[in-house]
Amino acid sequence: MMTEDDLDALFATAKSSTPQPSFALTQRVLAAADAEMELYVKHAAPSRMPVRASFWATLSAAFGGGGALAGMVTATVAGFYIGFAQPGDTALVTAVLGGDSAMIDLMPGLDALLDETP
Amino acid sequence: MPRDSQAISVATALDPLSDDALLVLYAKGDADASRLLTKRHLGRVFGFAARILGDRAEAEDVAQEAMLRLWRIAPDWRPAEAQVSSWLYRVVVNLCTDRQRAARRRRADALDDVAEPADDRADVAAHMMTQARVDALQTALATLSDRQRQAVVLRHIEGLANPEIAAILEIGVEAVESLTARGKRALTAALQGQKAALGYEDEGV
Repeated sequence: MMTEDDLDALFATAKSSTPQPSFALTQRVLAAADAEMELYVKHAAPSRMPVRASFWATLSAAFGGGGALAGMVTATVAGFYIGFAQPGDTALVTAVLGGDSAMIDLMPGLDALLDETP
Repeated sequence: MPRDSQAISVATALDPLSDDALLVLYAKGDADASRLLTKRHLGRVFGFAARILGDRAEAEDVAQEAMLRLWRIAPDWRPAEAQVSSWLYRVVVNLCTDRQRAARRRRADALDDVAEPADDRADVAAHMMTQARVDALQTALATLSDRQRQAVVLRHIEGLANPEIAAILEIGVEAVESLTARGKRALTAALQGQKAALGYEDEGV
């Protein structure tokens, strides 16, 4: 009759003589590890590229997002153009915007100083 | 095994690191980390697969596939969810179950031409008692259901605690206890009559 103790002894024997992996299997496992790792490194490379582009990310974040940044760029370019080209008739722009043009004297007292007549 | 230990020589600086830390290093491109992980786990993975499948070549395939899955999950590894060893046991259990189901389907058409290795091996028991005992156990294990065999091997040969086995097999602890108890009874029955051949006769009945 096979007893519990016999079975335990059998387990102990099996435990002490567990089959070991062959040299070839070990080599195959390590080769697969290297091959998989190479894939990660290749995949990881493009994802590191945005680090260089993060200048723009930082800048746009500082101005409250890409939309705000784009608006600022447009305004800057437009301002630069207007300043540089000095379009003769700004009344056209005013008309387009639907407003009336009017002369406003910002410094009324200045006329007296500019008057050269004795 | 000596060849294997020589095959994997790893920088000792990594030795104190946990498996989780080694997986992180591996995913970052540290080849030494994968060598140390292989050294720590391949023997157990292969030994367990061999016990479950009873076939060295099949066990090699399963062990290789299990380790490949470990390499592939490395970048997404979540340390909190499982120990590497438990995770590998679970992968091996699933791979073995798939293979054994497929083998049973193939065998459905063919005659069962499996010899009775235990009887043959018993003849040489006087010279190779240990091997005969291990073979007899392997043959007896083959008579268990997949689940019983997995539970018995994890409990009594791998030496795991029932809660860990429950996590690996994804069943309750009570179910593990029931599987191992029934599995041991079935093993005893399968080994009945071989006691003398296995050299247990003199140890008292």
